[in-house]
Amino acid sequence: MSEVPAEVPFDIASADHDSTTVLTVRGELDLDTIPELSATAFPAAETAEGGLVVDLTDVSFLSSSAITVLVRVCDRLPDTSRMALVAVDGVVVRPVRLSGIDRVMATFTTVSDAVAHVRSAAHDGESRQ
Amino acid sequence: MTARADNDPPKSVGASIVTESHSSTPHRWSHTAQAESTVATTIRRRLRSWVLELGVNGALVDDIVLGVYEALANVVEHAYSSSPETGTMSITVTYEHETLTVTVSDTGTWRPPTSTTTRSHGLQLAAAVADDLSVDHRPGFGTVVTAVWSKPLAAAGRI
Repeated sequence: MSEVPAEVPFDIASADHDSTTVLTVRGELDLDTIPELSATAFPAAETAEGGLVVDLTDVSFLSSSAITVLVRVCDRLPDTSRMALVAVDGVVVRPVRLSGIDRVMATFTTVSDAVAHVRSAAHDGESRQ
Repeated sequence: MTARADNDPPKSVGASIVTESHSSTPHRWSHTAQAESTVATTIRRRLRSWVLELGVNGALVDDIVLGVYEALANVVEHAYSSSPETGTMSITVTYEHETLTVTVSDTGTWRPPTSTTTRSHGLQLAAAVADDLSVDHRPGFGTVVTAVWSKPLAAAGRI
């Protein structure tokens, strides 16, 4: 097992685009790294009043266990907030579609489209109150 | 971690090992190690390298890697969850007769998937990306998951 190529180190960063929280994930999301996803994304979701975008553009592997965590992240959002994913590569898009998570949260190919979506959803929620 | 890599053809059955003149990639390999998440990750990366060396391309590479990882992760998460100690998992990868066959086995206890809505079922995902997936489990004998991809070198643009 000596010919294993080096992988991009796992990293997750949080940034605010106005009131919307954007989590940028890099590397492989599997059993080894989902604790780091949970540790950052759960508290971020609980305070994401303007919605949450999880950018998976630079994720090179996505397991079903990571998808389960993403669903739990969505469950922690404030009532009026929504969550969206950003995914381009088939390595992420395929498990997202096959798992059906795309029925729970919308998937976009750019961060700006995803932010616009969750922001409009947050405004819709406010207007209903 | 106790690991036993077996990338070289076993001497006793060396004649049955299929090789092609243009490639030194072994067409059969196996690995047995503790059923731990770090091991599953290492095997996944090794499998990806091997699949690429074999000549598989496009989305099928991702499908094979995802399907096999889900079978490994299923062992890590569930096979020994009712045992006092973590056991081993074994993977055997064979490319023969234009067919890629991967078996993932453990000696633990089969636990049927629960109906929890928030839990994605890894083996369902594996079944969706494989041409064929079978699960064989008998009390006391562990579980064997076999995933098959037919003509993996001929496929292009599968998504």
